[in-house]
Amino acid sequence: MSASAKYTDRVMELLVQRATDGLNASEQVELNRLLGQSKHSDGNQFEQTAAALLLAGVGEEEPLPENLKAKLMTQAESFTVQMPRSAVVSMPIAEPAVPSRRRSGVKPAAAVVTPRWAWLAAAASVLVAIAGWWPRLEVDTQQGREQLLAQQTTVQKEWQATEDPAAKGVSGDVVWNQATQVGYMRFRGLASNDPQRVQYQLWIFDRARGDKYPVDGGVFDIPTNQSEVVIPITARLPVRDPAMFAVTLERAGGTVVSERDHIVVLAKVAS
Amino acid sequence: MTDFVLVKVAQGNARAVRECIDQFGSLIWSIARRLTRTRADAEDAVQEIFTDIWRSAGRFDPTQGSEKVFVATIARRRLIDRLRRVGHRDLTDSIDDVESLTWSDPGTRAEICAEAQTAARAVMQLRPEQRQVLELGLLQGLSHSEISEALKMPLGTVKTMMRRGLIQVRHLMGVEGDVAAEEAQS
Repeated sequence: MSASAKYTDRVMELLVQRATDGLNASEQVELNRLLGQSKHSDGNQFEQTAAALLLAGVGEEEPLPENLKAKLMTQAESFTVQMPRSAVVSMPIAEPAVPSRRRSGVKPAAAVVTPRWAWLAAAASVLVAIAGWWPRLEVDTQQGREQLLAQQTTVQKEWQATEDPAAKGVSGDVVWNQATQVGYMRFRGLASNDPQRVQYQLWIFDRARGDKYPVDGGVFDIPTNQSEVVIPITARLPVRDPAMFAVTLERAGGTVVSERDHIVVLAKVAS
Repeated sequence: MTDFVLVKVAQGNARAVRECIDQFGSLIWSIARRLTRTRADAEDAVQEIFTDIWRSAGRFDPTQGSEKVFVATIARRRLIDRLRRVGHRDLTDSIDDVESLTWSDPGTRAEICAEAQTAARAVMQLRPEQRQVLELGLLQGLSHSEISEALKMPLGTVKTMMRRGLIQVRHLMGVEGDVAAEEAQS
């Protein structure tokens, strides 16, 4: 078998596996690498076919229950609150200075305290590009964290670094307000990541859900040359009784179920 | 002005975020009910899927397929992840009082999109054993090893049948992609 045929065979194997059985983290990294090397542009072809076949099998649709619809509407409200920030920070001009989001291109606003030279470069691009939006976002995030800290019910916990190489010399904290479900992570010294390969992901362990099912708190990146980064927490489900915040290193795009083999920092919350 | 609700979501239209629930809520719920064990699981899954849909709306490209296929792709991916998280399940496990999915000739059913109708017609042309492997994987959500166990078939054969079946369906749908086409030529 030629190298090209071997390559095609492996790509096909992984694409079919992803569409029908899911991929583990290392397979996903391998597929991203292979697709990145190739001229192929339709990496979703089998997933789309699988989805069309699924639609063909659904038959008559069952109405969405009213209680679930109400929950989704509330969730939609929370989501739309974040939308203006997402729309702005996903503008390409802001990319180099902004921790990125999932492959969707939707990104959390993040405040970055940079060395002086980097501030100058960032300020120049901001002036040219988005007429003051980006600095305001930084201030928003920093101010948001400070305002949250000013609330009596907000908890603040220092990160505990693990033995993971990415955690060497890391410090910072997580702040979380249970009533409003708003929180921020602050990092100093966390290793930068290549968003095409791996991304950091926050997990919120909820006593009400058990250790096996932590809530996904969002995917984020640490850019190079940043002395401090503040990132808003975007919990995907309501957190009822937070027990611990943990950051893992995952394949690009994050995961639904972490293998937990790259836990970088932890912050426990007393009951 | 676009008619695609996903494009509006990607443009930051708050009303469109809610419209998504009206437009796709029943579809996502119906899929989730059939690919989760319990009603509570399905409710959690639907909430996760909608967050994914809103966040991924910017990746929707009307030239690549319909909105229904796009949201079903996201739903399937999320539900497979959840099924794998729960782990191995026995084929005799009951899935709450919900009918299993199956393929049949779509006829002129108005409620399913054109891609789904074409896909249904294509899959009905496969050999019964090949269709069964696809059905267990795609409609029942079984992993390759679970299918292998259920059908007493070597794992490698399941993987091959799954791969050839999907390629054949795409061929019959007339949407062969570049990787598949390359393999077909080699």
